Amino acid sequence: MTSRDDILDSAIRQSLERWSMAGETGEVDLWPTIIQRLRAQGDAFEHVRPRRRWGLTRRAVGASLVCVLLAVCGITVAAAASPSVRDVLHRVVPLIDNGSVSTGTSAQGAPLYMSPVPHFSVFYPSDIPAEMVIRGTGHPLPGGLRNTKPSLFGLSYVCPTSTPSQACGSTDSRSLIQLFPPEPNGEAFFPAVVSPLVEKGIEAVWFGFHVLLPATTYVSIGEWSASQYAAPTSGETLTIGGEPAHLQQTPDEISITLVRGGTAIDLQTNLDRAGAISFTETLQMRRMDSRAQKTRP
Amino acid sequence: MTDQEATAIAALQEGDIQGLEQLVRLYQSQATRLAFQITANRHIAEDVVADAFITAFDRIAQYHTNRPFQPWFYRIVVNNSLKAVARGRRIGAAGEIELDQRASVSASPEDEAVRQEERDLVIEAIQRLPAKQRATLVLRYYLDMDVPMIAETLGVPRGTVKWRLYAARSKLRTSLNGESPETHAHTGGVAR
Repeated sequence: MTSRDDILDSAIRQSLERWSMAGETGEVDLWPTIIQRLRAQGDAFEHVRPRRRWGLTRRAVGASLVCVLLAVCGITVAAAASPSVRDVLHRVVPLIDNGSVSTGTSAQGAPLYMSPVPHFSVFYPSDIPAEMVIRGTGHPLPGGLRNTKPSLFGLSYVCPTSTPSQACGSTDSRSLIQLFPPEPNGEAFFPAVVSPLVEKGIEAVWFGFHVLLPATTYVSIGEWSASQYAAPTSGETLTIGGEPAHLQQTPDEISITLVRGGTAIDLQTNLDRAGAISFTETLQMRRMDSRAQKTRP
Repeated sequence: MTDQEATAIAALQEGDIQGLEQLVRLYQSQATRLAFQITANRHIAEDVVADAFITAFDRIAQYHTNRPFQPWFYRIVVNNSLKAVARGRRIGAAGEIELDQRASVSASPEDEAVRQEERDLVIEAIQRLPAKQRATLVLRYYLDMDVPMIAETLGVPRGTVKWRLYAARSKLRTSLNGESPETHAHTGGVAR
């Protein structure tokens, strides 16, 4: 490099430095803005409240095989001729309730549960994108009164059915959800990889399902037991481990809040949070719906 | 990756919002400067960076901790900045006004005026570059990234980075022909 180049480089550096300083009129503090936007988009949480922990390390939690959240839940939704979600969600039935087996108690005495890994399956016409969202609440407090840490690892994937030959969503092994391409019959499996959640000690998970529902669309959630999918069974009441799961329905979506970890969890808090999330996802649903409308004949 | 950074990322990946807050504290200033270099508007830059943090929040599960966080995050910032520019949020006069208002306390008014003018010429030339070339230039000369890291940050091949740098420098050299770098050196202006 010639000295001429050096001089030019130096001039660029100094000028950029100077230019960057021109953009500052004081200390930047974007955190309030970020918090506000996160709240606005439905990631409701109470960051101000200090995080309380179990006092167990992840390794300790994993080693003692404690925690896991979900038993099995399910809904089967059959769409009527109308694409209205309301029309197709009126009939909600549980698939299976395996209950949950207490695997002991935490160091603080709270009951912990082990549940099968759930499996999610969405049936829909292969030319309609589907979105699935899984969000988790935080750790229930030992002996506690309520959850303090809301959903922060929410992921949402849109399955691009235009490329059915490729796995959609993230196939990152660390992702919470893996989506697989729709089968020719329009069935797509969403096996949720919940072990990362388990490792995190997450005991309550909110599921929101957003499927663009034209005619003959089915949504079901069932048990995923490694290699087989348990077929749905009928019922009218959704219970998880003997406890009711909170179901919320709106004209545009359905969401279920499952609460695990014994009675120490403030159910209403979870319900509220799910509601807050639902609002956002409703908007997403509408956006997707608008997009899908264009693809319909 | 610093311990503080690693702790923040681990916390965020475990669902602790305080991890995000730590990352914001760590990166917001430099990220805002970076965005400002590209957008030339402080408010847009802050908006871009705030959105970038939210994007990082949403995608943190996709981040591999065995890779440096900075390029991963700055890629979001740069891309958001380029999008902002592409949306028509073009370089405005605000930055130039702010620039003119700054003065060095260590130089005489005359010297400072000369240096100011020289820097402004370079800045103006940089601002005339295509946004992608400008972004590449900023990463190289402002953040001192090497070519591989720039390529990772921008998500383009290394050859593209080299070409953009070459093209940007060539254009700057041409633009500054009337005020050649040698002139700057002789005057003790922009040259170090």
